[in-house]
Amino acid sequence: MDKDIIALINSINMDNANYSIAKKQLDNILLHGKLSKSDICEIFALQNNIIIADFLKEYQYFSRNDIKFINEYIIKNLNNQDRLFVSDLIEFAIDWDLDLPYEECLSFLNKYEEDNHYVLLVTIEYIFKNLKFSYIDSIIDSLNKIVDNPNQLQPAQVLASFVLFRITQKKEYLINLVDLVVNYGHQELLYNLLQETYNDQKYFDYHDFLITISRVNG
Amino acid sequence: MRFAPESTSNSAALPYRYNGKELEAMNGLNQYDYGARRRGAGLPIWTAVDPLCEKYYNMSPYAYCMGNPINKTDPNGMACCGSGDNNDDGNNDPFIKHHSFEPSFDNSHGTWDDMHLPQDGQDMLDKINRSGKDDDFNHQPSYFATDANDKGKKDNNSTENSKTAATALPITIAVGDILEEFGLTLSTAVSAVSSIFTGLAVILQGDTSPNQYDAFAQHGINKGKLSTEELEILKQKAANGTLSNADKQKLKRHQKNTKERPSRQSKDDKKDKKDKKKN
Repeated sequence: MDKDIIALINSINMDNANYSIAKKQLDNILLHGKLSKSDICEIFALQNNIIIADFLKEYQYFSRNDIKFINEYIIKNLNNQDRLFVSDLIEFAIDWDLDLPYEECLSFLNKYEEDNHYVLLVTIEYIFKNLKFSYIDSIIDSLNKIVDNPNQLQPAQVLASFVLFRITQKKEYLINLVDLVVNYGHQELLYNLLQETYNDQKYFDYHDFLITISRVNG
Repeated sequence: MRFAPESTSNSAALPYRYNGKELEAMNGLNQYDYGARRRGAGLPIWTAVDPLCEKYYNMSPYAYCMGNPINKTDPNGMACCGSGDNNDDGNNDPFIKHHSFEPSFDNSHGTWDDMHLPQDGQDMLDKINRSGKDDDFNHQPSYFATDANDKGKKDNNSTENSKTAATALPITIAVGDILEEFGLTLSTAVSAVSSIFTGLAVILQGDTSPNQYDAFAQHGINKGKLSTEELEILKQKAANGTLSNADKQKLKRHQKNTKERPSRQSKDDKKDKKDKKKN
């Protein structure tokens, strides 16, 4: 284990409150290039979840074994109380096509707590990117509940409407999506969503129309 | 279908022949009189333009029975009808039956185009035209004209076909005009392709039936996004190195609510495209 890296990790723990300082230390760690598994474990042991999430986003030398290890780490932390951190972990799983327990992910769709919102956003994306038709009943049902629930936050409803429209092609979802985007100012979300490879024009007939809608000022 | 040239030697004795129409053979005219138009005796085409040609964008105005004289008839030269033409609404218009047109003509001569507008989009184009919003967009022949490179190319890809046809039209303004009717404005100009009209048609159709909204009448809570000023302040803090964990969390919440972070695949895809462009 590199002593410099340990010193840097310790300094991150010391300067826990100031993100900018901790981020600088992380940048110094990333400059070292490939890290050993024990170094990665040390980083995962940090108290600052934001820095761990940044590390997962920015580190470029993950080997197949590292990914396997991280996959287990993510599964263990799916019920972590820091829900923003859990959403970061699921984002990593989306990026690296990791296998998460599908039924547990589906259960996230039915949790209506506000702090679960960010987990919900990424879970909808994960489910859509890893659509299993054996669960289609429960997926559609859960997404419909999200769209229909006045206590949900709107970004989740935009995503759910979009996914429902892509799966079912029913126009009420499209109408609901356009209504949410245009009348409640979610153009940026829709635009960014349409930039994803899986929503490319080649695979999605309404791409151009929705791009137009994302440029509409309500 | 091949139409054999007909003998006119006995036409004086039997003037009413194919379809019971009078064959006018005087002075070598050799045409059937259908009332509204005349049809060549040896060719399955009309000798004059279809008086209702603006109703059938993708069809040559000279086509007899839409190129299908076995299943369809045209009793007076105005519009064809025949078996299987009734759509769900009982409308006898053969063009309203399908959601998209099947390319049914040989494109090898570059005479016909495989226009492939979905029906919803077609209706929308009708709507625009009837409203007289764009005078240039009046079913002119350019609608049928394709790029010279595309001539003779048989392409069944509906999106491509729609694009080829629709981008030939000066209808960019029309999208904004329609949206304006609903109190919406476009922040930037958009190129008009038929799928935009398809989507608009769905929305407009939905707008006329209030039941469509009933299922999702109550939207959720709209919060979590930062205002432009707040965002600027946080970015400034980040630049100065004074961003706290709480600030970073706020920033993250905003990014997640607007899905600002693209997935790795999308990033890779964009990177590949850039690399290809460079090369």
